[in-house]
Amino acid sequence: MDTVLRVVVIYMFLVAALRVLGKREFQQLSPAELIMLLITSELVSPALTGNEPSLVNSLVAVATLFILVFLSSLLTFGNRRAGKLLGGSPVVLVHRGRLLERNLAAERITAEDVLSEARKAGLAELERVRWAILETDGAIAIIPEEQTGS
Amino acid sequence: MREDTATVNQAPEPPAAPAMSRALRLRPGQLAGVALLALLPALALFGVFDARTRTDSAASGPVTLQVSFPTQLRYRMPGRIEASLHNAGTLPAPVTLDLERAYLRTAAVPTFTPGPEEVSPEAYRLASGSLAAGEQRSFLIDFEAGGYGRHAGAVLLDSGAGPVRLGFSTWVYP
Repeated sequence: MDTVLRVVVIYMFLVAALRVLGKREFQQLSPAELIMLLITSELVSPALTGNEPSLVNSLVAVATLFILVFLSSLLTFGNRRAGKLLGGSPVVLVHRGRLLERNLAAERITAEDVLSEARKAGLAELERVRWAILETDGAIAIIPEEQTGS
Repeated sequence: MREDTATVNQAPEPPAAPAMSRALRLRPGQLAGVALLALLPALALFGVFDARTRTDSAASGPVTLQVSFPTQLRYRMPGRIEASLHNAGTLPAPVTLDLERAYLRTAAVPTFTPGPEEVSPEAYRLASGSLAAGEQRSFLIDFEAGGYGRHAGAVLLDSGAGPVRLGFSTWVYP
């Protein structure tokens, strides 16, 4: 009975709290948001199973974490520099078919990785890639030469 | 046509995002939700969910009873009741000291120091007999908060000058 109540309370709390944070957190993961999702499960799972007996403790911990994430998102929204500092910046991996070795080395991404992403975007050769950009969520965006013109 | 494996070390900037207003516009519901969410850590910072204790005292004739008890605990948090008797009179006083069992009904692993002299369905008898003039005795009851909500109980002292009931209660957060 106690377990059922705990699961119900934690489920309702998480749904409400994630709803408050907004859709942004589901769409893309910044480092802060990734940390939030990783830690949330760690914080609530002991309360679900009863290893951490105090439900209040878990809820306070999760609420604190969510508020920190919310404050981070306020900061990154309101201040471009803070956004770059907390969320990182996109990194150009390929420009006009040319690999940017320094960036690739810094991000530990191989030419094969980029080519693989290009193929997923329907491009067989790097020459047809105008931009390959490592986004802040870790995905590689491929923009073909044809789409942007010049 | 470009070279097949051309590489460069200079990093051009990708097209920048257009400028936009960065003034925050939260919906009222979202604002209320954030405020509610922030309330929990704020209350915790101010110690609202922390364990708290209180000490009350009462007297029956020359014998004074002082009871220290938790007013709030969190679930499965250790709690302690400390009851002490002191005979401030010049003569020995007969005393009986009981703790109502109802208080500890949901508590886990209650430990008495010293152990109870007698256990009835209603109470634990902590002490009976004579308390010498100037003598002081202490009784510790350690337990683990085992049930959510309010738990009320009392320590009952009788030293021949009429029984005294010292009530207390503990709120246990889930």
